[in-house]
Amino acid sequence: MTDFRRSWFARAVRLLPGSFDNDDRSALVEMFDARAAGARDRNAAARVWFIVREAVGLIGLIMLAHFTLHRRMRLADHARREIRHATRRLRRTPLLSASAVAMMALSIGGATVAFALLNRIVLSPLPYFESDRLIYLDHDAPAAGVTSLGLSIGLFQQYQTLPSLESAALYYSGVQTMTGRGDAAQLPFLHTTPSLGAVLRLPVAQGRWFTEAEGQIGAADVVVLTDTLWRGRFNADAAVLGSIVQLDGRPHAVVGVLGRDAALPHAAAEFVLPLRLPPNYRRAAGFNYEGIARLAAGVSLEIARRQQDAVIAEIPNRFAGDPELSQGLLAEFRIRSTAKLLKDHVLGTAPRTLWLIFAATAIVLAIAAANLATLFVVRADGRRAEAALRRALGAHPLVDAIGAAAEPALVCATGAALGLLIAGAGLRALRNGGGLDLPLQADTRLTVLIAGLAMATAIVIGVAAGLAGWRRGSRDLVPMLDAGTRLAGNSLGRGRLRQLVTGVQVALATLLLIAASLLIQSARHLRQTDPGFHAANTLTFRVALPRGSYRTRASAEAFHQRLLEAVDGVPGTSLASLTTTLPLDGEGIGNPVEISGRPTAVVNALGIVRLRRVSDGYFRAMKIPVRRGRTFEPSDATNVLQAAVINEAMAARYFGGDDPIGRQLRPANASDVDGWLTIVGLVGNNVTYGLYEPVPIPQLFVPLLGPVRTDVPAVFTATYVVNTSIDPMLAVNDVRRAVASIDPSVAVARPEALSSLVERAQARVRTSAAILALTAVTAVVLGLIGVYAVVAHTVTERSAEISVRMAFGADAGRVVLAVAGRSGFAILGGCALGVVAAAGLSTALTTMVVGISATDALTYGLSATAVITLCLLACWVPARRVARLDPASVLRR
Amino acid sequence: MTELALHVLLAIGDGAAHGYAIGKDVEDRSGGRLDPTTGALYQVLKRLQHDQLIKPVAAPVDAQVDPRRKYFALTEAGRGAVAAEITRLHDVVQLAERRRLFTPVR
Repeated sequence: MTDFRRSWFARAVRLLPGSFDNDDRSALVEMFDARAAGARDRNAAARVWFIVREAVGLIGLIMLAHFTLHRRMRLADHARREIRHATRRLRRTPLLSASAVAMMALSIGGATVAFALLNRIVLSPLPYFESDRLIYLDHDAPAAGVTSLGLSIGLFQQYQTLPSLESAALYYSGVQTMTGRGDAAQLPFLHTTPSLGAVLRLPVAQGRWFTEAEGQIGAADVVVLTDTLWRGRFNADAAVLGSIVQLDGRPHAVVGVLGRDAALPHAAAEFVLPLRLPPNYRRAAGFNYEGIARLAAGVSLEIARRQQDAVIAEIPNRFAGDPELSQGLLAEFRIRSTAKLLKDHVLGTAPRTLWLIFAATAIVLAIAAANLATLFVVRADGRRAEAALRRALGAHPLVDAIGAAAEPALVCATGAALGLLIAGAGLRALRNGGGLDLPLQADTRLTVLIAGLAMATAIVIGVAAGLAGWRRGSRDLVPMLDAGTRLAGNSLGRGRLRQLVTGVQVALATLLLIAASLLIQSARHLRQTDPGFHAANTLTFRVALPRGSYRTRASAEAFHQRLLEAVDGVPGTSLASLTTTLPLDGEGIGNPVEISGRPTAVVNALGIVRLRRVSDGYFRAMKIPVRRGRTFEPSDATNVLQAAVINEAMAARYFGGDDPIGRQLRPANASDVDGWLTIVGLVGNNVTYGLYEPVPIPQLFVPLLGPVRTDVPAVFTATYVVNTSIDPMLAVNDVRRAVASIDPSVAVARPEALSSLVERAQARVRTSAAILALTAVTAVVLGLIGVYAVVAHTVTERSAEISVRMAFGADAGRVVLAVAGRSGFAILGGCALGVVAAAGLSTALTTMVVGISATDALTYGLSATAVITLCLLACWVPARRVARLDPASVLRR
Repeated sequence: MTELALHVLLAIGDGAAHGYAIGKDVEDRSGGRLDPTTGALYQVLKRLQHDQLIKPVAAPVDAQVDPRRKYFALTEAGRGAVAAEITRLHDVVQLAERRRLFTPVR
């Protein structure tokens, strides 16, 4: 042990500079030996600690000796002097320096935006206390083809007793009309059990959250406001607590205002109402709610899910007497818990998009860094004679290293400063609603930490690029000074490193180009997809009638009839109609159906259909084509025969090749539809959730208006669809006036062109495609510059050799081939590597690539060909130039 | 002047001493509070030597010593520097006493 300790210390002492003479060195070793002898009696941990301390102390001595004792100059002075020299050198080549700075600014700016988004959205926890214990309660029904069913009151009440859950809350979001404070307005709100406050630990700024008693049926009507609503509509009214607001015509007392950083499960909600559940609800189905729970300490998601599945398996016992159970619905749909971490629910597929964009920008940064390294290797080669001279005159190699690193570090630091400005602007644009449509996008800011990280990364890249050049420059100094510079620069190893860098650059550029091509084709495919309706020149808006003043279905219907006529009378509009759910605007109600004359079990096995209630003009206004039969007519409202219309997907699934017209069916469990409906028409498919639905979803349409049933909630919130002959948004003010002329307490909500709904559905793929295309083009251009620089440098270095060959009669074409050949090999290899990498990573793209395979051979082939062609061109230009030179003049130089 | 440098100068005050003895003296007199590593201590010795506050001297002839040991003694400038530093500290103590921030144990 002692020998070893002495030996490492003695060996390390040799690293001290010449200012430490042999006396110093042996005195140092003697001191260490004496101290080590004293440390021998201590325990093992103390001995290790002793060695660590001694090692650190010696390293400090060695480093300081090199900088302060030997040169008699402080580190800061060295740095200052070298930075001054570097600045001067950079100024001498302004164009090159500016290009390098711009390259770093763009690549660092892009990577910073991507990282800021990734950090805020994916890597940071949700803004709740111990948010990793929060789970979202969801179910799926594989047999019915439903992936996200939601939660029912019955199951929620059973789950509340599970030991795996500390607390749980049930909620849904909706819209209510607020009157009394400013104009009547429809505001989004959250209806939740009081337990949500405990589940999420919501901070309350004023007053209080709901009490458990306020969640009981019959309690007084109370409301809690969000900070946004309090500051906006209530003008931060200090006396808001206890005041009364009218919601849907009913008075509610304000009992609290949430804190500014309270995040509700539906971010848009502006106020919260207590949800009152009947105790011991006896119905298992009715999956119209959402749920969030907090896992008990130390319980895993897996255990919670297993306990929920156990409850589902016991539904027949726990809900004995539920009439729906006798139909066997729940059993046949094979409902299971798909509880997931709340974060996974909130983020959805956003992490994939963000990782993809971050990877793309990181690749661009890597290519830019490689270019920078190449550039400074070339520069260092140019200064090899100078470096050799400085060494010969006694310059310390570490000081030389600082000099080599200062120049690229300065380029990178300047680039990073500009890049941060770009990133700040980019994030501001995203905060103001730029295209990606990501959760939490509006919260993402350029923090000091991220800016510091970007700057540090830039400087590390710069120093690394500089040191790469310095390592080259510091070798082979004797031959340099001996033989001049011209022929000495041809070492095989240097060429190999440069070719390797070229190959990696080409591989990365190919990878990005393939990914971008796939996404661009997906975006084009989405644009060309026929959604099944025509979105041009169509205005949509929602109307929710206050329950206080519209208590009966008849009064609501009368309002809608009058409004339909009034909107039809607005100049520039035609074909006003109504629906409960627009395409692309959520799922709407899903139901199993019963078909007259078919066994229930057989029909249940076919899954569920989406139920839409529409007025008679809806299909014409949306231009949904009628394939057979007819759509609704005004007479259907009074006819005894209750009409239904189905889409082609439903006809195919439920009736196969048979003619569905005239067949009878009815939705199971739909409280507002009773008696059999007769199919009178067949219409084309139109999209339900998103633009890309490889398997069209069955839809069943029933009339919205008419004397058929009483107490139908659907008519109280309806979406209007109106054709316009002008820009749809120009008609909004006239529509508002038409609504106000019928009832000033009714508000027009979410007026929007139908086409913007379609555009929103395309937004993420389109924006990702645009970002990826931009990064791919940047990557290819930077890659080409890299290839060009390497080849140009190689030919300059070898111009003497080439000239000799040509002087001896070599053919110019063969010379070009010889020069470009090695780079060509690197390019082909890099391209192949890029193609393989893209194929390997294609699964990461599958959720975003639509209408084309993520391993589409044509796309891969064309991208690779494009990269190879461009790279060969970049090789050919400098090679050609040297082949044209006059050998004699080159050799004379 | 750093605290360690001052203690090193004080350690040599009694007469020439070698590196290990200086380190031991500093550690003992500071009650273990100052425990410089070999590297840190030698850095201070080198710096003081460079500033000509101490100088290497020949090892005492009568001692049974390791021939590798290097002995250091105070120079005149070194004595002056110690005196100046102690005066400065003394002034600081007096100032603190006048401002009633410090009561010396007498």
